[in-house]
Amino acid sequence: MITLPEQLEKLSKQENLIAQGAESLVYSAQHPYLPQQECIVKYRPKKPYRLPELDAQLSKHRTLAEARVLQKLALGDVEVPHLVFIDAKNGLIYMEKIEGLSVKQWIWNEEGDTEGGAQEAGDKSRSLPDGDVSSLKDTLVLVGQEIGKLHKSDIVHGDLTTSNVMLRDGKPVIIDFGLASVSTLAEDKAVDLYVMERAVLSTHPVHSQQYCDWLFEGYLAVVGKSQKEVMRKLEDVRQRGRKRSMLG
Amino acid sequence: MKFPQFDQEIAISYFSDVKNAGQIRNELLSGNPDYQVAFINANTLLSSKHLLAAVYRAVSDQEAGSMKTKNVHSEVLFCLGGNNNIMDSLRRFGIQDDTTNIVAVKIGGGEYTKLVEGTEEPFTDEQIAKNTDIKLVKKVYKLPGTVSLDDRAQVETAAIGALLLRGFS
Ligand SMILES: Nc1ncnc2c1ncn2[C@@H]1O[C@H](COP(=O)(O)OP(=O)(O)OP(=O)(O)O)[C@@H](O)[C@H]1O
Ligand SMILES: [Mg+2]
Repeated sequence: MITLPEQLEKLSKQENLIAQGAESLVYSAQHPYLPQQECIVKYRPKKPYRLPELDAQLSKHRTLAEARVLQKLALGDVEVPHLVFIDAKNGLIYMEKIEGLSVKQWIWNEEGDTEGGAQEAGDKSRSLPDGDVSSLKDTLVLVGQEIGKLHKSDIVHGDLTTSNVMLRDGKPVIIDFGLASVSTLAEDKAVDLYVMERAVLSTHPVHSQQYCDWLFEGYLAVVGKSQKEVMRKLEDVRQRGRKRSMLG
Repeated sequence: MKFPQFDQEIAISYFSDVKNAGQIRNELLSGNPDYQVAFINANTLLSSKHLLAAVYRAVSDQEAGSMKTKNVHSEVLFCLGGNNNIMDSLRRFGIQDDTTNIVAVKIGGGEYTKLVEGTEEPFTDEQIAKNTDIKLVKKVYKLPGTVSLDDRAQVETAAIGALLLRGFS
């Protein structure tokens, strides 16, 4: 049974649980110090199977790691949720609530509007109708640019999927830095992009190639001089991926 | 006001044209119990949110028994800071003899507005913005050049992040 952490009893309710991942529970809650505002609280609960001392340390460590990444990015030009409060001891990060849809849901809506639900159809030859190409393209190029800015800041996300990017007034905001880390290595950035490609392929199978092309168009427009090396590494990572899937 | 999670009453006032900052400082230094108030140099504040983030952290730390200073009012000044140097934060965010814009925070109820000889202004973001020394704020939090002085919202986000992470890095 999932129970609301006691720290949130005055700010939220069990029903306000909006997501449950492997590591964390995400609640929408009243803002802890601004009247009439909402926020998001990400909670890393205790794991009964871990040693208690180790457990407390781990959840504190990961909570702080995520908060530090958000702060590092807040000092630059990547759009991410603002920090509202950190209760590291109890594994809680309070952050700004981004109003809007995930890129995943937004794409599904766009596809659905014009194709009567792209999900159910496996017809890969179908092309996107002209009217929507422009908004899909513009948005995905922007998402690619945001990811490019992220990598330029030497942060790798660790779980780049279309559900971990949201759209606020049409502009991408990257969320979920639970697996993020600082890295200057082209290899790490390439793995990040590979994860993104795979995620697009499984979430948006019909037009995945087109979507990835747009994402890369945006990405390459901002990353600058490191792009050659990252793209070369990406080719290596893709090949390793293919080998792995051939071996089964 | 009150924070939903805590019981203490929190009152905040903005004073301009303050005439008696020196006298207030003397009372604070001598430990006069009537001066259990956080007196803040208003020029160091960016917005009500900026201050409330620090007040909230101070009250949380008080409740958790993890304050680093001797009372919740000095803790507010300490919590405004972005580093673990208590003296430094008290000096930077606290008042000097010639401070004329003061924000007073009283936690736990009680009269305090009569202690300040000045003009009481509404505690609003507009009022705070009039006197913010944004260059000073940027310096106090050691914000990098990527944070532009013209982007007040970004300075606010960065300052709040810095004060929330204080002690954890
Ligand atoms: N700042 C935010 N604003 C709005 N919605 C958010 C925000 N953060 C998270 N969410 C919502 O909660 C969901 C889960 O959050 P998040 O992706 O951070 O957790 P997770 O996937 O469980 O994390 P992890 O992979 O670290 O276990 C998101 O997909 C999104 O719908
Ligand atoms: Mg996620």
